[in-house]
Amino acid sequence: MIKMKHSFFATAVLAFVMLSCGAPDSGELPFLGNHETVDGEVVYHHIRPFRFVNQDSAFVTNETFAGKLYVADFFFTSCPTICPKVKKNMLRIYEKYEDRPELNFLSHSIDVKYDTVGRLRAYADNLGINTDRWHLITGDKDEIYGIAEDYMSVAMEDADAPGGYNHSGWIVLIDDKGRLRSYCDGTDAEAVDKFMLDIDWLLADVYGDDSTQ
Amino acid sequence: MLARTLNTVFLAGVLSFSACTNTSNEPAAEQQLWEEIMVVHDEIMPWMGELNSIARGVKDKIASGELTEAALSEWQASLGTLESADRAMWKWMNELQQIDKLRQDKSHQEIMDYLAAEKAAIEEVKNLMASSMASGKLLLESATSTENPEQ
Repeated sequence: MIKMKHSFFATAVLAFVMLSCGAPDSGELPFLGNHETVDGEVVYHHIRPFRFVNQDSAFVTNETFAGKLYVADFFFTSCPTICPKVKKNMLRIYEKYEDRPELNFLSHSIDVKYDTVGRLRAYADNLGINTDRWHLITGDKDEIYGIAEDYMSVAMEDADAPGGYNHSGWIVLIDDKGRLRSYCDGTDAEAVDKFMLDIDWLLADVYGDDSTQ
Repeated sequence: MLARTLNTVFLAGVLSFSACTNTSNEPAAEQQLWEEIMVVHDEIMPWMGELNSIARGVKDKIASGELTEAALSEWQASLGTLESADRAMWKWMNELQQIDKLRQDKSHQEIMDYLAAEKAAIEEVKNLMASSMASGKLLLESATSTENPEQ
């Protein structure tokens, strides 16, 4: 019975991930997370206000990404297993959209004690990234873990590992208004390929061009 | 005379083969122990989110001012062990030396000893995390059932 439950759950998760990460063949990329209706209007889940410090000691807030799309993830520099795989795929995304300044990146370190600004700077240098577009941030531990739950709320509902969202390798796509639009397993190259189709779709939808499609 | 020479050559061959086999097995043995450590790491790293979520719940309860003096010390002790488990995990991860680096200046035996000690250390972190999370969760659940006795 337990096996059946697991099998059903796994199938449901798989189906959801395929739907979430797959490019929209027709229709729109969905708004993920809880919706509520206020005065007759649907209000979609938004990423809460935040203020962190990046690898250059500059503040990074919601305003940093106003009017832009961004890809977010959670990592730490001493991570021996999952993070290097995710970073490799994040770099693939970064390189594909290197000439699209409308797409930014936000990597949150969950190791607030050891991942200092200097260490994040060295990590960024090692990745060879333009830190105007890809911010590696640190900050208050409770704030970072709190916002992780916000970003990963959709994944958490489906992941078979409660609390494991911050080391599961999920990456998420946020639109120009701070709404969750897609997510996938950042360790899985094929899932990331599909995720990039979602980015293509959203770039075209928000900025009205189809140069990436 | 010829038989003795052949015996010596055979023995030398066996010893060389045995030495080669042992040497070639050394990296595999080190790698296996490293992977055993990573299995524990990958099992408990996903707990960090939940550990911090429990710690935040305990912290909020302490800050609420609703606790009696006796209860307060119990909650503070729970928060202390949760924070200590969190610190232990980050310390372990940041101090762990990568296997390639170990191979630069350590003998096989030194590497095996180091990895065995790290395996014991990460098991200890695992136990600390599991026990602190269990006690923190219990406190939070008891507070919820006191606040909502019908649930």
